[in-house]
Amino acid sequence: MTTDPASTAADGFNPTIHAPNRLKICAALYAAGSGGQVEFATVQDKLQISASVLSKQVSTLVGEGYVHQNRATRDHRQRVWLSLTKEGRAAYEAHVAALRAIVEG
Amino acid sequence: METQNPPNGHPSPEEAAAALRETEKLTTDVAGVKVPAWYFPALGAVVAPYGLITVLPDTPLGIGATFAGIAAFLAAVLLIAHYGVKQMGVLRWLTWKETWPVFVPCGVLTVAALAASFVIDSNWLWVGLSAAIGVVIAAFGPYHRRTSPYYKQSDSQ
Repeated sequence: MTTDPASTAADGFNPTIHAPNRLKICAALYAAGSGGQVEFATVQDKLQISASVLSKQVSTLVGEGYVHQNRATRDHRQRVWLSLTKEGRAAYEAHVAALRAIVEG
Repeated sequence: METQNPPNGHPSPEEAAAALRETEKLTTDVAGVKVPAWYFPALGAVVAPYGLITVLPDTPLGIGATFAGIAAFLAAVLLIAHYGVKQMGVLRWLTWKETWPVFVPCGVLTVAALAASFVIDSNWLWVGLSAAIGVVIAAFGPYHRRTSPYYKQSDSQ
């Protein structure tokens, strides 16, 4: 059996983040930078997915402590702003590094 | 035997590359959301008259107007920030690389005004300073929208 070089890239690979929509959510929130936030509707628009799908994936990430939700009521409507937590940023960066290592073999 | 799929649910190099391309595109898209064209000019317009509070008289009316002016200034800045971020849907703190063209001139103007205050004994100096800083902030808006590397990356996609 040959040693798969990709297995050495396992450090930082995060199966929770890697699910397609969750990876995209993290990428979108990462763009806002440290201390930044992105509105739920903006993430939905950029990812082109339904609100219910986005909400479900966000809940998973919140459950893992990677994403923080900030709810605010404005003009009688509830707006939700999402941000990566410190742990979420670290996990995402490590995951991206793991993906790069897989690509580079 | 050479395995086709990597172990432990890891993606193949091709899948990893595709995932990285997607994330890079999204990150660029979100970071490339531009600050509204009205934002910095509005902020500049609010900052420009701030120095007038230094020339208000030391009467009860003048002191009341000073506090009212400070409150109005803070409220206006908060409202501008609120509606700007609401319109963008993204709250991204601008980097030093993006903002030095406003901070450095404002810093120079402030130091110059402080130095001049040793020679010019007039509160109108601070009126001039706030007006000048207001102009710098207002002018920064179009400059920023044209030069921010995040906007350029997004426009090129």
